[in-house]
Amino acid sequence: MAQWRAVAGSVVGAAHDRDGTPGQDAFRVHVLDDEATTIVAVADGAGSATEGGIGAAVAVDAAVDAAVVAVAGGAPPIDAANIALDAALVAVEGAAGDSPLGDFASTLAVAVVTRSETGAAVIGDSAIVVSAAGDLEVVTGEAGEYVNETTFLTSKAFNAARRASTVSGPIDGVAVFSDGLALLALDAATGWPHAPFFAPLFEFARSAEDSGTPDEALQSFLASPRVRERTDDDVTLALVAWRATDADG
Amino acid sequence: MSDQAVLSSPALDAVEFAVNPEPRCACVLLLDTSGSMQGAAISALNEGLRAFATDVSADPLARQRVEVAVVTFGGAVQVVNEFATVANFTPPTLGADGGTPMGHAIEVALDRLEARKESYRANGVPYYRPWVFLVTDGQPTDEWKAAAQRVHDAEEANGLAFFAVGVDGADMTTLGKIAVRTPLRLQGLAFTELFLWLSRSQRQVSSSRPGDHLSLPPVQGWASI
Repeated sequence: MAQWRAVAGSVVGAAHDRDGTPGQDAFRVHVLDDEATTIVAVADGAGSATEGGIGAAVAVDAAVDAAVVAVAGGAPPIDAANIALDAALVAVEGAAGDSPLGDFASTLAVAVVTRSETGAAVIGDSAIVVSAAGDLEVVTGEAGEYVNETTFLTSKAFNAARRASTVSGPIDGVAVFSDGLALLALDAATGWPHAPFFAPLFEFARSAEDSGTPDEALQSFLASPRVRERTDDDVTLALVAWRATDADG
Repeated sequence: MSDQAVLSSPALDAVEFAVNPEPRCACVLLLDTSGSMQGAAISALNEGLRAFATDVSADPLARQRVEVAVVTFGGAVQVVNEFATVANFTPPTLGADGGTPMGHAIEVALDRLEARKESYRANGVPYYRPWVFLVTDGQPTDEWKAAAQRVHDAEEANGLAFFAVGVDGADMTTLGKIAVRTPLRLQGLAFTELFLWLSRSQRQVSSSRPGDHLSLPPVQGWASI
């Protein structure tokens, strides 16, 4: 039987270590019982939003729950991913209650992965890279001019800045990551994914003995100097890879 | 050909950005070096520039991210330092002479800034909202209204942040028409405190992440409104 392998890791950035503030990334990976679909959500709480970390945690939980229900109801992956974004906003609004919504600001990237296609929906500067038949495609939210500006789930411009697309299969792997990893993972000039960066990561996920979230080896990679010297931000990476067994060649 | 002409060529920009792909935080120092700045004022300004370079350099991230250009206006407008990271910035020792062509100097600063942004984009270097920091002890002796309009348009478009500081004797009313933000008046010759504040502010901006609300350090040590 063929199946999805999922590994994920998240490391708190040096900036948070310095300030003594908690990391504000959150992720959740969920492989559905029939193993046909895997749902991944990564959120990056806004730097100085006092409850950004809570906003991120609430967002990924609500997003995955909503996508699970949507997939069970027969929604195509792209619809499930979009529903996940909408559900996340409603959940964060609920968590905020009477507090300012902006205090819970967070980005959100949701991938609904099946072998035949992946639905990807993103708000903000988190990103999704899909490997389909050897080609890499990237989905990320609308970027602002400045590196310290982005549009959050809780922003007024949410609906204008969200991006979603379907990548057709066969899907070999999907990576979902927070912007801390973008400097390494994407070519800055073109925004295209760096193939040499992703190939070994997908291979690693494919060969993982068990799905691990968090995965120890991936944690070590994210904490390594190679990554740390390029960013002082939190770094979160979730990888899903298709492992074909002998039976399906 | 001077070193600076070599460094400003697009090919070497590409090399610089390849070697140091950190996001950039551009800051133009737009400094009045007219005759009235002679003596204690220009000495204090030069000392302030050295304090700025030393303080930013002490921050390992900021020294790779903050890029400074120095444009002076005293008699003529001069680009004394082209954009360079603070790690590669040698603070100039400025002299003071001549009139105050502030309008032209602002236009030159804005032109340089636009060209620098273009270079960032061409090389895929992410960047922060740039700053222009104007310091003067007088009033423009040239046409300045077109420059003021450009400053207002750029602020409106979120294209930059323009700060104006008046040294004793400055025409604060005209400065108030040029800058959108309320101009600050320097206390005495507290240039070192002023530039340390600028350093702290740039260090903060250059380490900020999406969603950060920047609260700049207090200006009480050197300014009054």
